[in-house]
Amino acid sequence: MPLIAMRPVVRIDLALAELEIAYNEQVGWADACRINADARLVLLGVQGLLRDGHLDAEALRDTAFVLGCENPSMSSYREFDTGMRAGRRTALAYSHALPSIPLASAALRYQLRGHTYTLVGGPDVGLRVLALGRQMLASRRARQVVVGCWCVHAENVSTRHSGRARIQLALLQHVAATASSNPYHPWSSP
Amino acid sequence: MRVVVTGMGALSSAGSSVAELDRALRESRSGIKLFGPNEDGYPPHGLAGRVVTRASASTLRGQAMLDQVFDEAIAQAGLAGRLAGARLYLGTIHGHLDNWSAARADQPHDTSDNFAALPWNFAAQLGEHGLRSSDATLISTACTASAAAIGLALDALRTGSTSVAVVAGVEVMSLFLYDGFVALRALGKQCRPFDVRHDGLVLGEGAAALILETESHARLRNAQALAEIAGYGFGLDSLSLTAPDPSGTGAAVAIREALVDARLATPPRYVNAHGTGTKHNDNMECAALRRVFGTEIGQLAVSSTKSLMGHLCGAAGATEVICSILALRGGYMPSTFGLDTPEVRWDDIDFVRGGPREERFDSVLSLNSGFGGTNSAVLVQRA
Repeated sequence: MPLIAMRPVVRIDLALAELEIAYNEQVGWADACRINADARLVLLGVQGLLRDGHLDAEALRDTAFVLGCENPSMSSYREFDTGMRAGRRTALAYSHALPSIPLASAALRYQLRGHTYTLVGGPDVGLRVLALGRQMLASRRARQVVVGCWCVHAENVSTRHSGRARIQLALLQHVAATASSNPYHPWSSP
Repeated sequence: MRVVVTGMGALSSAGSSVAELDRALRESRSGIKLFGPNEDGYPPHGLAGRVVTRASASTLRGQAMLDQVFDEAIAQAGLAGRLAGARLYLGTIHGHLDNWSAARADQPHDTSDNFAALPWNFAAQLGEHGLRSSDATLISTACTASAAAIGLALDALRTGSTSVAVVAGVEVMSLFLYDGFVALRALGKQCRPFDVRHDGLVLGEGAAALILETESHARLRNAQALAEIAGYGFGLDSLSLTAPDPSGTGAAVAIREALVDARLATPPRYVNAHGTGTKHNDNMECAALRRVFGTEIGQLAVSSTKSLMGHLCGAAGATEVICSILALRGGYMPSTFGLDTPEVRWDDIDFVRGGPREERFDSVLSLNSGFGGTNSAVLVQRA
């Protein structure tokens, strides 16, 4: 099996209130003014790949993405569920109440062409993400894969937990695809 | 490396086992019924493909559905009690959303998102089937979820990560799901894929499971290979979060990748289309087929089995691959129930209608598309 290198590339940890500001400053996608907080966070993360020069726009389009989350798009789930109980069926809330909508928003915004997968699970979902990213390289479905996890914890007044938005992304590539003086940390696939 | 299917389990309104599903396909018998508001409130009204589960009061419906198809598939494969180390790839959109929504009724303002009550917590039941939660991957790519699960399992087997994979899809109809499609105005008066009168989809629910193995592993234990999963492809529209790309570009990418992946020299004879019955989807899918096959499109026979069970959303891909395998093995092409007059603009496409067509063929292409512009293609061949 070929050597695969992983490079951590984006790490964002914001109070939920700051997410809106950061999104407007760095992404500012007017077409998606009503997307949920999860989608804004994922877009902010992908924008970080470009902003920090890890990938250019063309390379980004052909990159595969495998992202994981424990509780994706819950704000949209809650919004539609609450509205439904009150007799309101809001199409927008429903169409965003899917785990894969955040990554789909990134695909739309950055015109992605590679495979994109959203995995859902418990606290160990990141391990599945990493394994799948490595598999995508081994099976030659992609030449490079962005793997990562995100979470958006809503503010909870009763438990006094403030809202938090976190995303961490890493870039997986075959070692041969990286420069010889690369800063990556390779390991051998089993 | 060849990857084969050695076990299948299916549950939908068209049948509560693979044998019942086979009969429904051969008889073009639809399980879609008109429901009025009933005691559990699902669906509130209208057409739907609902299933009867063996769920007890304490068992989640989605869990009961999965238990049933796991049992059937694992028994057919002869792997009961022998799944240690097997990987599970599970495709679903909303998981146990019915449970989450019901739990939330008591605390509508609770935002704690306790994982135990979240829709995607499937870990508890896996041990009963000899699977470990640490070997489970839950994929949620909208209505391509369980087709993607098949594709990812295929790659895991090919790359030697495992020699046995359990692939499943499940989707439970809930008031949330039903009302969501009402909100989107996507529901039709009848499921009529590719018909001039197609006006929307009909929702269904159910589960499906397949046991995938490397051919060498299946041979070693003298397991019967039911079919070969020969290729998989994935494509993105990147055009809209909810509407498909009318040009069919993303679906065409998925189809081409699956054909190349399978090293198929000639077009597959039969296509089990996503075929939801919405104008947008039907037109996109036909455009994609024309884009890929061009003048050879007349060599394909196309039908949608959703017309017999409704749209199983996250479980659609796995269920329709099972339909494809049944057709391949049984020497028939399922008919599109409700398709009387195909759209004139697709008159170069050979739609199977008016009853199943008896014909022996060697390969099937199963297509799915979903919200967010995901498209998948699974190529199945005779084993």
